[in-house]
Amino acid sequence: MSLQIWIDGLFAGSVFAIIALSMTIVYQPTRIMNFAQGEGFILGAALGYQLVGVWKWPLIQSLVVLVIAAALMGFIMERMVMLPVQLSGSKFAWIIATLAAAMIFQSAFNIKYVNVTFSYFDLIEKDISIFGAKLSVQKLLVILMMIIVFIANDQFLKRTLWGRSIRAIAHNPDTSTILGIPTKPVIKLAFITGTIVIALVGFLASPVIIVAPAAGLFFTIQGFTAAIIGGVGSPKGAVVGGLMIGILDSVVRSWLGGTWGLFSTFFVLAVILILKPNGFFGKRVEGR
Amino acid sequence: MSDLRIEGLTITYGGAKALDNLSIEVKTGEFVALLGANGAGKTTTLRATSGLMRPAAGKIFFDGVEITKVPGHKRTALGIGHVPEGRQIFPDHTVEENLQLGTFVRRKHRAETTQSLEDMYGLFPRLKERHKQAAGTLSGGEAQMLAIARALMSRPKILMLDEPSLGLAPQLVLELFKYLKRLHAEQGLTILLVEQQARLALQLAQRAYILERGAVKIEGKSKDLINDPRVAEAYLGTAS
Ligand SMILES: Nc1ncnc2c1ncn2[C@@H]1O[C@H](COP(=O)(O)OP(=O)(O)O)[C@@H](O)[C@H]1O
Ligand SMILES: [Mg+2]
Repeated sequence: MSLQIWIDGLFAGSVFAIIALSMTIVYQPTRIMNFAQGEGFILGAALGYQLVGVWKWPLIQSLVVLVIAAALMGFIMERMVMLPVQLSGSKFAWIIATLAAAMIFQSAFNIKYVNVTFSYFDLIEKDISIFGAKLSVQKLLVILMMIIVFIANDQFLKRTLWGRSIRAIAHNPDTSTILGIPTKPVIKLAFITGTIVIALVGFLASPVIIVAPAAGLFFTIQGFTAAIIGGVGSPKGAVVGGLMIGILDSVVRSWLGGTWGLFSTFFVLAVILILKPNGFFGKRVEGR
Repeated sequence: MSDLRIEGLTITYGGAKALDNLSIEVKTGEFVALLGANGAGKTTTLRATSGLMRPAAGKIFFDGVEITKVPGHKRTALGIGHVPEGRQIFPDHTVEENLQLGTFVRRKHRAETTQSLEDMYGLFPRLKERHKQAAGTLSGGEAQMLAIARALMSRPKILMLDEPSLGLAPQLVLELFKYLKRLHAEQGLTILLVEQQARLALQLAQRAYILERGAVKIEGKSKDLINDPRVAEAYLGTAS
């Protein structure tokens, strides 16, 4: 099998891993899997298309606007998700709240960008050659970003008091509050950080993979799948799960043709759910 | 100073009143017990004081300053410590991590918090032995010690405890109450103790309030209440 297939898989896997990491960042304090998370990916892709592709803005300016817009989206998303959750008191409110948020953002993207696919020229038009296989600098940036986001999130959770507080909030927000931990601001910040992360990968990856305005839920499901395979809530799990489905997809596609890629992803998901219901690195999530 | 004053507090769940125009006061250095039958409103009183519940009416003052609208996490920094009902330790964090979480409001004073950790281990040697263990593996008595130590790590001026004796063997309850007595006598900690075991609590506390259906039914000095037949009655009274 050619090295190119593995490199392409590594790139696709890094995209899925970053999506899963961004969902993990939101999940850590809330124990909510945000089905609207993929809309942040579309935001990044759309802004890349609009600012860099259409308006020909310089990269740095575009990135600044992207981060601000993503932070705003994360802020709005937190209200759209947490307000119904807090008001309803139902254990399942998050499902409908996050799906509703996904639909609302998706409609907004569809109105603005009907029949557009987000692709613009490479940010950095340069290829690196590795034993005859090609890796564009842009793809390399995505892979590097995955590694950085993973290490930052993992070390933050393990080594800092803030990181430990986030695990505490997930377990019991009231008890965290009486210890002086600002639970609500931490949750807001998680939504904002998660959205910035996923918007950045949308921005970096959309020229390579070609993204449609309505594809948010597709990316959400890929990230969700990666997170479940790796173990929900674990940064390591997000990376392992993301890389697994990315590489698997690439390998199976080259063997059996494009349509088998997705099938193999969900087949593996099903098998892993049976063999390891909590994923590779997940803990059993106990009810409160 | 750590005067706590609650004035005319009313709290509702849906339509039902859990607290109905409740007024209590704990003065600096006092040890006060908050007693009453199940459902009388004791837990709700503590949760409101910690900022976990929004009152429909009434005011809460701490150190002479109104805190009714201060968010819960900021009240910890003001000096309000709370050992919640059912201990609520974090089972997946280690014993030491649980204690460190208690220092959240003092996190910028590293040397001081390290000292507090040593102090807690001195006070509760069994926590030291188990400091690397996941807190979920502790026995009921150890978990209660951890919950108290964790609250003390924030250096509260007033410590509110919600039924700390719940689920403990009688022997351990006595040991626990000995610790509380020491904290009050030796460290001058102001204490508001919620208890089901009224007789024991009255032996420790200087004063007590007995709640019924969200309001103060009886209040007075412990030595007067301990033989008051109305106290026993309040526990048999209907709580709805
Ligand atoms: N989460 C809740 N939802 C609805 N009602 C509640 C809730 N918690 C407490 N209550 C009601 O509020 C009243 C006071 O409860 P609580 O403060 O827990 O009493 P106590 O601690 O003295 O046993 C009771 O009537 C109880 O049924
Ligand atoms: Mg109670």
